[in-house]
Amino acid sequence: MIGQQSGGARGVLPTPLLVARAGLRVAASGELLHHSWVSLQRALVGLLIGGGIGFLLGLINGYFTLAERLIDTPVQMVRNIPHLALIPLVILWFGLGEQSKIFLVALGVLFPIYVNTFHGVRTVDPGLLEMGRLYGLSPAALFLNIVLPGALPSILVGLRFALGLMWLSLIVAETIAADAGIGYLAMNAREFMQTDVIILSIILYALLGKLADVAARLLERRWLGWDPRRLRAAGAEVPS
Amino acid sequence: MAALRQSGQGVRLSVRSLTRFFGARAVLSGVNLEARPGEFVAVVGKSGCGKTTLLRTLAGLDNPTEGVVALDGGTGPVRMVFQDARLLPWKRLVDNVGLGLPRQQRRGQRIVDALARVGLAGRELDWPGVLSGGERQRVALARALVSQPGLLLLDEPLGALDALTRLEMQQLIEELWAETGFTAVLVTHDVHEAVALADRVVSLDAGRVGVNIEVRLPRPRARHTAAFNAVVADVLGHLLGHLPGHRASPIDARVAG
Repeated sequence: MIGQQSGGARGVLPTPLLVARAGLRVAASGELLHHSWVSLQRALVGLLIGGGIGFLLGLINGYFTLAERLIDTPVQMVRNIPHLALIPLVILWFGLGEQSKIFLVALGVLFPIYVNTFHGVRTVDPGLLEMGRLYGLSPAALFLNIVLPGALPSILVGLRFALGLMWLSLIVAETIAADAGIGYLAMNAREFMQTDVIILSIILYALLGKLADVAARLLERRWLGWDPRRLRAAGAEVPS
Repeated sequence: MAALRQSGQGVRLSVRSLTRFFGARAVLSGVNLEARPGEFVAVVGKSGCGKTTLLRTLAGLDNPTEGVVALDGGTGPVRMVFQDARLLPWKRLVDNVGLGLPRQQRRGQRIVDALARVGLAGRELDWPGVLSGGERQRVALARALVSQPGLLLLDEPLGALDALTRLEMQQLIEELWAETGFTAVLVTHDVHEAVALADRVVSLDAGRVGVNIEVRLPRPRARHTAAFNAVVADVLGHLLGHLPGHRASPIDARVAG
């Protein structure tokens, strides 16, 4: 099963053993690390830019009703365009360089983070805000002590959605036009009918995706440790 | 407890012809209310009688349509305890209690003492999420009192607690009030609670002060004595409209002397 090739399907689906061998080969040549690193960098830079913009817009629009009236509608209009439909335009704008990939990733992660940050800020318990004002907190202190931590669970939900879209955008962008990265590795392998390398690329994406998910979970554990549901899960006795 | 003892005293509270409209509906109409420094006043009434709006106005959370609220003398800020404790779930107890303090005092002995005084010694680093309803209100009391308020507003603080916890908390509130000398305004629908705690019980009916009864029972007050029950019956009678006094509105709720 693991090492036997069944019939003449060699070009369709390689055995796990062949994939593992391809992995070793690509790792030994240094390509594995190189392409993974390039992809990871693009993903993180895109996440930082797009996530940062989405986060700031979400905060501003959640906090100021006037800003929401002015900004939310155009943002929602852009949000409803499938961002991957912009690929031809993006290639014309930025060429085949790094910018086009980073732009697509940034665009993909912007909206889930925007929507969830906005929602998180809007759903902060008004009773807590009232209490904070009565207890003399300045607007800045209200924001840091009540609005931001209150919105954080929702923001982290947005982050997890964004991480999924981050890899999706990157895969598509790298598959269409790239000279490095995991997507390039896969497309290059297609030229030479190396299905084992293609499968290896898919597994790499899966592993990087899992890595991002683990990172998000760690952040949640660190920042949301106060949540009664988490406290209960951790074995604390929590009155319901 | 030194942490809660107040160098100054409670404020003198004076409310004059307070009127508040929400749209066309008058929630408060011409309310007069006075409290001496350090006096404990309870405001009782049915749901929707305007007592919460009155309290929110005293706290500065709501602006009256007409009338004046004056706070004179005393030291310390206005603090409020809400029916839901309104603790920040993402802050440990020490940081919840220190919330209204100046930055440099936010993690000092005062907070440790304040928590100890409400019966939560050593719980500084707990999350609010692990507390029972009664414990939450204890923290809310510590948070209010650590700033040594001149006026403490209590908005049905025990309304969501079970009967036994409520009795314990009433005792605690009375002790803290006796120790520190703030002026207190308690809004409640529980007439027993009002009579147990207050120097004076004021009834509010459809936005008007109905009756103003001074409670002259010695403290701490034993429940279910004949004298206690007589005062309760008196207040209830006025609230339910069986006894005269509620019609002569608006009665000035000021107490001579």
